[in-house]
Amino acid sequence: MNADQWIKSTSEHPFAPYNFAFIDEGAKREIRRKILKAVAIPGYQVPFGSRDMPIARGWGTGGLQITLSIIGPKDVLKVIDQGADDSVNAVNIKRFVTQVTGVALTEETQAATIIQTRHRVPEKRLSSEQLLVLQVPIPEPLRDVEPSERESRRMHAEADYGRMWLRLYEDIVKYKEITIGARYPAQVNDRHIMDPSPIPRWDNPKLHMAECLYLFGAGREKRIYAVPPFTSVASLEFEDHRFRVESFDGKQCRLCGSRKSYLDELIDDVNGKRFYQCSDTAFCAERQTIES
Amino acid sequence: MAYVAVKGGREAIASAADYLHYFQTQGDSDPLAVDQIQDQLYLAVDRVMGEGSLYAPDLAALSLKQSAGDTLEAAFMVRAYRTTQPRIDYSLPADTSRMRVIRRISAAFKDIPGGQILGPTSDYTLRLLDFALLGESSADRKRVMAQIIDRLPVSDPVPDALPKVIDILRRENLLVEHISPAAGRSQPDDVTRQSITLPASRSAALQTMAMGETGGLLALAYSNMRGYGNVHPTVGELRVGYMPIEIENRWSGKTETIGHVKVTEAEVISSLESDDQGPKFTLGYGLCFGHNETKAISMAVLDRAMQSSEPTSASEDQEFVLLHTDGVESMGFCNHFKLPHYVTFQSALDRLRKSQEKHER
Amino acid sequence: MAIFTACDDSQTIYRIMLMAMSHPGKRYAVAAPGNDSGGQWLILRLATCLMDHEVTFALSDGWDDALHKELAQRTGAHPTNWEQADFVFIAGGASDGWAATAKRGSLAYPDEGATLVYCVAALTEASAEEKTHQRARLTGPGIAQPGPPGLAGLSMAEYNLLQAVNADYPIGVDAFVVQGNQFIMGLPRSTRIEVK
Repeated sequence: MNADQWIKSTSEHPFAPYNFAFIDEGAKREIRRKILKAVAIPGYQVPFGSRDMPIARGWGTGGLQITLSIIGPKDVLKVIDQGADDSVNAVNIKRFVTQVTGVALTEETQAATIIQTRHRVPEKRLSSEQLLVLQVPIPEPLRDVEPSERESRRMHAEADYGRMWLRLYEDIVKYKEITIGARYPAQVNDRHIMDPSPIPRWDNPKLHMAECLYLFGAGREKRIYAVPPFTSVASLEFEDHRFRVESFDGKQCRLCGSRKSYLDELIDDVNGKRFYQCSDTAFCAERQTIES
Repeated sequence: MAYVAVKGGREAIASAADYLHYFQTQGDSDPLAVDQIQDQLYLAVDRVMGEGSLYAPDLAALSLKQSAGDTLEAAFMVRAYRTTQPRIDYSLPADTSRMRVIRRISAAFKDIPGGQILGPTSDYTLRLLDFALLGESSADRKRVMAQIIDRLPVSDPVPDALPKVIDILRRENLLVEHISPAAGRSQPDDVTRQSITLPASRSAALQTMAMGETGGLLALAYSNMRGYGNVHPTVGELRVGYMPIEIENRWSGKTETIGHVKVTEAEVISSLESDDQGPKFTLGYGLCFGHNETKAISMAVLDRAMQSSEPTSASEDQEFVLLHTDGVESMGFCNHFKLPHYVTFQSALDRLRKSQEKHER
Repeated sequence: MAIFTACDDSQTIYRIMLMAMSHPGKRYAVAAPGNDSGGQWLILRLATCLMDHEVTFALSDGWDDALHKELAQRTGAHPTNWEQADFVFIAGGASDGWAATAKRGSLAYPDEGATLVYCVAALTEASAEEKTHQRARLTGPGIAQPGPPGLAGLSMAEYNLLQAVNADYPIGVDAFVVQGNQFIMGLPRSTRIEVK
């Protein structure tokens, strides 16, 4: 259905007075311009005039504004949170998007043209036709070593990343390990250090030389950044302390048996035992279907 | 054997909405009419208009009803609505000396041209709970109104325009005037269209504070007043009143008044600074929608504080003030910590376990 | 509902532009509407998709006077000179050195660099460069296999110029190449161009 048909079909709808995809065309234009610049300068945070949304700041308004600015009636949308399609926040977001666009929703990763996600990258490799939109709480990888935005912007401008490397080194001295869990910083296109959003380290390698475009939106902090396909994304490491993903040695998914996906740890509420399940529920469901 | 179910997101949200409505609908009280909120909780309405950054008293009243009085939520709803409104134009700069004042005072001088007009203020009331209000009826309200009208003294009407107190200081060359490099440009910055860049222009800083949360601005201004800073404010002038908003008609080229907005304006005289003509007073400026003196004064103090060339405290640090006083942003981020964070937590657990292993070796 | 049709068009064109910028050097076909697709349909669609009263633009020589007025009126964008323009429209595949004067942004705000839009006509004969076998070779983000651009029309001198203008990454300019009403190709500043 095209936008015209959508407007006619929703005239009785509570969202009828609003534009297609809720935000006005002027806002979309600015976001679209900024996305293009983000793609042209991989890993660099482009400031944008983030609009207030009906969903709270900190709850995905950046990712949402990107999705709403690029989505069209023919798109198929998947929204996940912590890897799960029916996490409460994901449900809330996709309910809103579908109400203001009429787009079809899916839980199947390969069927989606746009995937909006919080804190996970799908296990299945995405194609060049797919777009991944990540929700970002804190876009600035240097924030832990530098609270001032002016100063962190200067550091990126001058590629003055010494203090970030120092922080990693201090971890090793103190704990013999780099203790950063999620939000592990990576250098993009051999230039800008980027915060990949709070995805686990497990997902960092997926950004390197991917086939799809990654778009990152931080609504509250008002920044957009991107990693184009076939771009170098190098998680920071030292020669003698290499970047390591989380270990699930000896563990497998209770539902599908996978040993090669990021697992959620759960406690059985009857016997107190610990067990594991795929965080990516669609990946897990598909494996279960294949096996049955 | 039971295990943690991960289905049910949709049902949970629906039930949560029902439960919220339950709390909003329970009890035997009559439904709260939006016009009652607009009339009788007008200061809450004013606060929400300011923090929602939209002058629409009826919508602010509706948001207060819908949010059951949570002003952070109410301002959030107004902001979300604001986003959807098409931007037609910018007004012409408004001259606040043309404000139709209902209140206008100065602490700097005992008497001022045009007089000290106390206006509708709770400043000199005794904060004693009035239990008579528990049984107030429409008849009571009408009676009180009739008595007020009856008691009105005969006096000259308040003029439509009153000179600014600080003009006295300007005329005597006692006030530093900061003419920024941006003065004379056709448009001020608009932080709702372009994200703020630092150092921020004065227009961007004032606009950010005008939509800032009253409590947040107050806390930072208070810190400066108590000693984490040296604004040492004197209220040069505080005005509350109705300001005409004018636009230039694009087709006729004429100036048209499209309405009036109630605003509060504070001009705060601050500590000495030297320019090439010797020491002078400096000025801090604050303006916000509705009647909200605490906010306007706080804004003015922070405006002055942020002009320090060497910030020594949070209130003097422009980045600190402007990035941490938006109610919608701060409330949203604070509450986002309730969202599931189990994937990132799992990652942190992995790191902790690894570090413990190494520690044990 | 004309404005909503425009909304639909903008979104469709934008997705093509996004793909083009994400996969530099690849040419993307645009489906023109069946009815009147005047000589500058694609340029105007691109403009209305991205430009409004918040941006500025400039035109090279070689355009007819009507385009200037069309762009200003349809988008509300402000005409200005090359040095200040956010968007520069270049008639043909060469800017005669002018690309070097376009805004490149700053180290702190490289995104303020301009977007150049080259409008080349479809080629009918092999160009002089093709006869001398000069080729541009593109590498960098978005490019799976280093190789020549998928859309002909920019002169080799222009490729050299862009490479020079973008030599101090991250400052630089980003470009689209538009061929008639049919194809779009993207060249972000992150692309390294070698002319051999």
